[in-house]
Amino acid sequence: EERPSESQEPIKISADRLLVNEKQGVSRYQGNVLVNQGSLQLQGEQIEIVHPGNQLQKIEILGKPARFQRVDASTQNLTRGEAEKIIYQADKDILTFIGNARVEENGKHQISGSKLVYDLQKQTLQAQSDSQKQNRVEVILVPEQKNK
Amino acid sequence: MRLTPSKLLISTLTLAAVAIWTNVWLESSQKEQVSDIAATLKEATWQFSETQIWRPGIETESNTLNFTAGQIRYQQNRELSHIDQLVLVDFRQNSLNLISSQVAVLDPQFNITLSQNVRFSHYAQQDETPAWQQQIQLTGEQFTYNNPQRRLTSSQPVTITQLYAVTEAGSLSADLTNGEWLFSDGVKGTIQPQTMAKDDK
Repeated sequence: EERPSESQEPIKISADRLLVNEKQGVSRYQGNVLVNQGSLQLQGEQIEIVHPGNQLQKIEILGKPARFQRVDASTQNLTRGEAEKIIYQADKDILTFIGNARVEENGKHQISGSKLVYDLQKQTLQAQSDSQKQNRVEVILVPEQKNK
Repeated sequence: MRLTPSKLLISTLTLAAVAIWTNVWLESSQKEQVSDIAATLKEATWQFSETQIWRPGIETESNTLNFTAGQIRYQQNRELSHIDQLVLVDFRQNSLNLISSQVAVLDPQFNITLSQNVRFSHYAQQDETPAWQQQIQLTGEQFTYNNPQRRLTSSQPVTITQLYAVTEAGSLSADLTNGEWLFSDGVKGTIQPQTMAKDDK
């Protein structure tokens, strides 16, 4: 499986500022934040990285919107996503999109809802609606073009 | 990149130590020097060259400070003003903090400007072995430590090197009392995630 080797690749980060609060033990990158790890790319206004004992545990991105992009090395499928908040959990290799979430694959299939959970390992996508706001899940599947 | 809090805090305590050290050192060494020099010199700047004061410097209950300096200059009115090739080591329980710079200039309030190849390094002993490992290092070309406000600033690029991460920033403003470090003017970092040991999964 390709992901485990990719998740050990260096994480490159750039931002306008980095605020470290020692007492809370938190580091926040702010302003035009861009994170790259292998083919995974995350973008937003603020990012918080938690990696106790240098084990990457979680990356949390806030943005207007926060964006995600990744090219699957084997299928060359481009998957893109955006939401008000994106959370990457390293141990499960899962991305969670929260708030006006939308994920699009290869510029064709698109799914949107209040919360989407994308499993990078299994390549599965789970959508949840937000019962209070009646924000329903919407799926758009674009059929393959038949050769004429 | 998450700067390991305790380690950075210990590094910054060293800065407070610099101010205390200069104060305490001056008191302890004045008495020996003043009597024989002052009588012969009117307007004098006392200079010590190739100073190697690596004897157990200043002992306090929590740490021991030792230092070497290429050259120390202080004014007749006993204000330490200028230190070249400063290396200050602050030994604590099983950790060690080190500050070094080509030049350190002090003012009467013990505000310190460190310039040229400035390093703040924190070392820790590796689980009961004699080996010391550098945990975190902050480097740059100029840092100013405001003693009354306990603020460390640099208007020039700085670099933070940890065991598995390196971060560069255009400037720094740190409030050492509240432990808040703001790196600005563009930040670039690289973290090398560590392979989890099998049983960690």
